Amino acid sequence: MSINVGKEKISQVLDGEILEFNPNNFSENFSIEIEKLTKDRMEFVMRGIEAPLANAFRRILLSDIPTIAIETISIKNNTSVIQDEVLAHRLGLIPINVDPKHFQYRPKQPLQKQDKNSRPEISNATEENTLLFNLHVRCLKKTDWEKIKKSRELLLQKQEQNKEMNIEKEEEEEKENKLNVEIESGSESEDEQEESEIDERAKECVEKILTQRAKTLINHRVLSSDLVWVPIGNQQTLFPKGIKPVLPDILIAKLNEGQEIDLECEAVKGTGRDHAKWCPVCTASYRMLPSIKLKRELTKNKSKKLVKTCPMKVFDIEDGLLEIKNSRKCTMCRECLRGDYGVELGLVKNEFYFWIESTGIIPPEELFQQALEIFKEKCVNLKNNLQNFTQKKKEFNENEEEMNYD
Amino acid sequence: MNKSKKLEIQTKNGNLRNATFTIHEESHTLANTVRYVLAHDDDVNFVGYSVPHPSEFKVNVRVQTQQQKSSIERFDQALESLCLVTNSIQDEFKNKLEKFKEEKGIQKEEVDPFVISLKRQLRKEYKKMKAIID
Repeated sequence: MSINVGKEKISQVLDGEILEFNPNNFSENFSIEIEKLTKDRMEFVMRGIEAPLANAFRRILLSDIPTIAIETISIKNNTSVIQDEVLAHRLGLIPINVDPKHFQYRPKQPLQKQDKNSRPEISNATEENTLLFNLHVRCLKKTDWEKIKKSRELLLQKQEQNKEMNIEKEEEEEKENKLNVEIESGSESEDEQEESEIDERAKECVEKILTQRAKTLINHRVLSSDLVWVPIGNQQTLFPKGIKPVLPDILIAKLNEGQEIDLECEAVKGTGRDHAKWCPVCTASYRMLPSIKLKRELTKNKSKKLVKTCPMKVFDIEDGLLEIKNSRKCTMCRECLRGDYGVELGLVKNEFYFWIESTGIIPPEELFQQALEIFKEKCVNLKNNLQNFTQKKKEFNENEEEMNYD
Repeated sequence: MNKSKKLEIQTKNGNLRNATFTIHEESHTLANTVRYVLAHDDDVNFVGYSVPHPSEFKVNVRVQTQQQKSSIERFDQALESLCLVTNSIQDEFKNKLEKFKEEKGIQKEEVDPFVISLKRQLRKEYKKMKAIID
């Protein structure tokens, strides 16, 4: 940082190093090293960049990258213990595995004047900006379910002749198939449970009740896999594989016998700035890499002590010489500063160890590239606004005054 | 036309050496970076930014320049250099990403979590069946 006073320059010295910024030389000093890359997490080191830029990227990763999450729900029936608003909050936080590029933001105000018959909430929702999900779960006793199953089979025999009821049949078959799997697994666990009860009676009563609940009830846990996507318009062709939440076993609510949750959800595009549910990262963070220097030579005993005091095993003795083996592992705990070891501890101001943990919607390498793109868009947008302003000013000044320069 | 104003510039008597830029719909993300670039600019005497109130989504950036230099032009130049810098970061990242993927031989597998959980369920049931049979 330099301050001009007249023609003299006063340079501020930061920790003995003057870090200059020159956009022309930037790429010479800048480098990236990718350390780790998995489906959900990326760790990399950026050298030659300073805190304002690195922080800008981190902030954009948290707040300005759009995703899709459930925004409004219409509850037809909720007899569970979970309140409506708590349920809505939990549903909103579920990450939905769909690329937000295909969607547009939903405008906040209605696009056209409302008719008498149209509701304002619906007139904004189109196939380009909304995703519909359905959640209908009812918790029953297995014995009751078997009765219902029999009566449904009778109905099915009657409905086979009727063409209009074809759609319902498909839905019921799907439900039956789903429930069949649960029935089979339940019946096997019954036999095992009895044996274990006889052997180990000391087991807690709560566990007993819970496992009994699992035995005798169906759908007593509402999971994110119960959210069924309802395609509107041409969405079926755009997403032939279907749209699901990122993970199938997120627990939404728990039901007891006779309780039911029946609701419709609308998912919308948004950014983390609005609500954290739209944040595409679990977290994106960075730390500066530590700089460890040994100011003077140490005796053998002292160097052995130093190697012992460091809890992260940063120092090591090789060939009788004290070496800094893993400076990356240093957590800045300052244990090495406590004894008289002559260690100089600091942070390297232009090396950043970044890590990005994605929620699974967008892979982390794409997230970083999107963040860079968004940052460029901001700069270009502001530049265009500046140009408009200077043009207007020129017109104004041509008519009236001259521009003043002292 | 403009739905809402993005940028307002306040100067004293039209003197473009010293100006305050009020940028709407922006926060520390852009303002601190622009301030950092302008601070390393030799033609700029003074630069600073503030967020007038955290509930309002805008920033004020103050730029004061040397003789016969326009602050608007310096601001424009700073944004230009930021674009260049992000371009070089993008290129570097792409190159390093490709190298990393080649080295590690990462194949793009579409691992569906639903399939994984189904497999787990089937394995459990298989084990139970085995235990009963044995």
